[in-house]
Amino acid sequence: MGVLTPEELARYLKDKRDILVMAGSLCERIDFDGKKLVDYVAAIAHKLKAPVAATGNTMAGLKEKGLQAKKMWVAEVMDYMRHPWKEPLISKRPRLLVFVGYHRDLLEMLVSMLKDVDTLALGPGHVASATRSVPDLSIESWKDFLEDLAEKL
Amino acid sequence: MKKKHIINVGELKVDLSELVPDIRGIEDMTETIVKEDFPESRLRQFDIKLKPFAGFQDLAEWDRVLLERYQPLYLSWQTTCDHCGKGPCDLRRAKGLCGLDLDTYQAKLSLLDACKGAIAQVSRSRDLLNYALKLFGGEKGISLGKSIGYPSNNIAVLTGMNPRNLSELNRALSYAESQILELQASAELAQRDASDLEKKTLHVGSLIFLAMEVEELIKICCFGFSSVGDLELTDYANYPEATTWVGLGSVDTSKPVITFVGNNFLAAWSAANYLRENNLEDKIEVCGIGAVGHDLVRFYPKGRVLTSTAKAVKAIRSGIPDVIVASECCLNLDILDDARRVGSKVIATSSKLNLDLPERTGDSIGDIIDELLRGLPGAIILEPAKAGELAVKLAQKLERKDSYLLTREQIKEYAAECDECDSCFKVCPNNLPISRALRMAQDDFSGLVEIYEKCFFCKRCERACPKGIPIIDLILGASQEEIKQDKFLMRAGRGPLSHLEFRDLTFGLVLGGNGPGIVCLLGCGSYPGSDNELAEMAKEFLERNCVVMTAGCAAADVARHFDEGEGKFIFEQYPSFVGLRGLTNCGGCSAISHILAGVFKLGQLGGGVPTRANYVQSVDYAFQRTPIVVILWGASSDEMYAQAAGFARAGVRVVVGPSGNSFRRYLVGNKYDLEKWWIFDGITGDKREIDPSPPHLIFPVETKEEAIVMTMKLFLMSCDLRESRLSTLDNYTETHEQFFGELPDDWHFYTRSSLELPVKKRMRFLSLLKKEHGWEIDRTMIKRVRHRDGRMMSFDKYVESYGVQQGRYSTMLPRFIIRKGKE
Repeated sequence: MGVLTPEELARYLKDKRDILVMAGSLCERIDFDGKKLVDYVAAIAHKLKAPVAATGNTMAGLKEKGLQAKKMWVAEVMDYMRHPWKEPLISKRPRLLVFVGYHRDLLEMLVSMLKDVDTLALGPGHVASATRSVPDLSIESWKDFLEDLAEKL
Repeated sequence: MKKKHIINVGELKVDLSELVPDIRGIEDMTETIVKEDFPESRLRQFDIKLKPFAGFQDLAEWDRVLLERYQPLYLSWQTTCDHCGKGPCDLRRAKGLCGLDLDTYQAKLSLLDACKGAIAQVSRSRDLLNYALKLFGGEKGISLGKSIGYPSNNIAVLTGMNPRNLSELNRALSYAESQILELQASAELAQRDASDLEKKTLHVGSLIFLAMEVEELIKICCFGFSSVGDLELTDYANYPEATTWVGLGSVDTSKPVITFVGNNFLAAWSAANYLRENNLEDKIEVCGIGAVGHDLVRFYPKGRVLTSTAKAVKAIRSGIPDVIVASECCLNLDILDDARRVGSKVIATSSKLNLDLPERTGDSIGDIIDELLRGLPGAIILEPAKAGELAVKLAQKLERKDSYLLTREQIKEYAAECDECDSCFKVCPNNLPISRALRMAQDDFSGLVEIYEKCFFCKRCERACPKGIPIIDLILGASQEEIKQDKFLMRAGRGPLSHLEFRDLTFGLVLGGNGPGIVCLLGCGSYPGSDNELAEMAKEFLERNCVVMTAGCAAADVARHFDEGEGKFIFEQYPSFVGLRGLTNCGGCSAISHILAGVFKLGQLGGGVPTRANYVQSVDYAFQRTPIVVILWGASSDEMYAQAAGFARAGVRVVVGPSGNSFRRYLVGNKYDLEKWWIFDGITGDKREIDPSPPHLIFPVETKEEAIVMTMKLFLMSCDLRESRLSTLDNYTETHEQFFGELPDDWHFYTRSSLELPVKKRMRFLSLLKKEHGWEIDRTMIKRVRHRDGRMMSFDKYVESYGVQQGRYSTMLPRFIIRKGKE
């Protein structure tokens, strides 16, 4: 499928249920001139009322934000997705996984091997194998995209 | 009809033909192994099956057990198969035309990756063995010295041999060559079973360790590499002394500089001999990058290690080497192009490098030098002695500039060309804000310096830049001060692990000491993030009372830690013995084989498990009782992929990071799948439920902090004695809270008694068990427990049905349950 604008993406997300946000290690490391990627992730997850699987060191940055979040490991989540769902962070097997803060190479691999679930790659960079993805963006336009998306949700 | 070969062991008559799958041709060897290694009691207790020159099917009983618990998890973007003329087939949508499904395709690629890695290693071992046979002859003895005992466990477990000379090493290596050929051929044929392919991959993993051990034994026994083999135990702590300089800043560039790159040390060995014979040691700087660097300093103490293979670009483009002597590398490097940019000359010593250079082995050294001075960029010299001598003579004649780094004005000029399209950011594996740093560079180089500290110089940014800005040169030019400061002290490799150290470890770890476990820090150096991550991990593990070992390129990165308080580098701070709070550098990449050899040694010493032709029992014992984790940091070669398989098959847990995208396949356990976690009581034969430990076999992590926490978790074993469990659980929960701000969600799975809860947190943990998990607690006593399946049960019933009795013999395989009446 393809690339969406923030408006289209907001509409797409509003129709979805059983969303799990996967927040990777770049959430803590990418800094948009003072505001971190993790802040945008928190805002988006909050609007979506979706739980957050905080992988890497992201949990530290999410702890105080009042979200339903838990420290998890990306490989464990991938493993859980191929078995009957038992992870208490979300009561049902997710129907949409929203990935933010993963290196593009890793993300391409993760979404390529997932079955029976929709995937959304929120950057950085376009991920062709995801069900939906942000386009290739510069740092500045990526920040604008995330801000727009959070506002329109 | 099968012919019987009866021998007497004590009062027992043993038919050797029943012990091995096919005794033809190995009758004498089998008899020797049984008579020397297997006392009567062991033969009576267990259903012993010896597997000399084991094929993958011979060891499949063990692989099956592992793969049932730790299922392969594939991470790959290669989902379309084009291996035959019928395709390509998109396997995400449906099976291929041949019936291949996505997982089986990934398993096939996994086997091919491992074979590629093993072939590179075996080919290197073969080259060295052939050269050693020419130089020393087949009767040249192989012995690691009086302190070692069982010098070649990686060979012994697979073949049944403990080679005593080069001819016997030749036999062992020939076995590995034929096995790998067969396994690779089987990967190319049609396959329907992912599990079968994964078992083969595990076997390739064991074979690569055999080949590495062959290489390492030749290095020590024929070429004088440093080794503790003949030292007294009291001398280990400071052997070799921490006097080896590492880093770009350690080189005196006012002298001619020869730099060796790659995996073959022979030219460096010849150059070192030539320098010594001609009293030139103080007149020429000799350095190495990657594996050859770590080899160099084991026979030439004045040598320096510049950096890891993955960061070779950094060293070459900074203009340090006058002459680069390149052999085959574990990674693809664009050596010739980078060397041309800075006017360095290249001597290639291997035809495997595929460099477009003339082959000049037969020409006189004088003629070759003349041509190189006239502008020839390099030459291929396949005779190591000649390559070594040529390198020295050429280095003395070359006249080069003082510095090849860009000036401040040049950097600003180039940076002004950037229009911030962010093509560099989009391709950077570390998502570094390169264009922001270029924008800043008009006033301030701090952005570029920050990039220097986190970059591993893959050059993707340069290739992507539509303006052709030489971004690497800008980063290096802006970081001249950092390059000068890039100077650390390391211990050169010490070779094998001694018998006595392992005896100590058996008590310090396996039999209930208070160390969490053994951590081995390995990798190729290609990790995005701080250069200091490995050093910081080493420090953390040492402070937490672990045994820390390292080898290969990772050792140079570990050396980067400097303690301001003590004024010492990490290798000066910690003793070089294999014990709690010891930091050991085994040597170059082939020296990694000592680590796995040590795991088999623990089985020998702790459980009296013979190694020769006895792989399965050796690893069954070690897996349950050896808290050992290998961290592959920035591992990017196929050789590392095969090594991970070899470690995992022997029960050594492997953490791969950062970013976790280096490997195609991981072996992951699922803590929620209760049926996967069991063990046989080795005495009664009862199949018992255990806690989910060790939780994974090969596991990816994203960050250094995840690596530390996961390592602590992977130390957990169902057979832990009380002190070990206490220490491991303490470290696991503490690091998890420290780095992620909360307790792990599964710590209660590993709670077997209030006495095993960390002392300082005991009351808090008991309170949490009560509040969050529904356990009944009376002050410090656990009365009733909620089992993982939700049932409430008395504590006594829980202890009776969950886990194994401490110190009791247990096994994963029915044939190692002690036969009734023979206990």
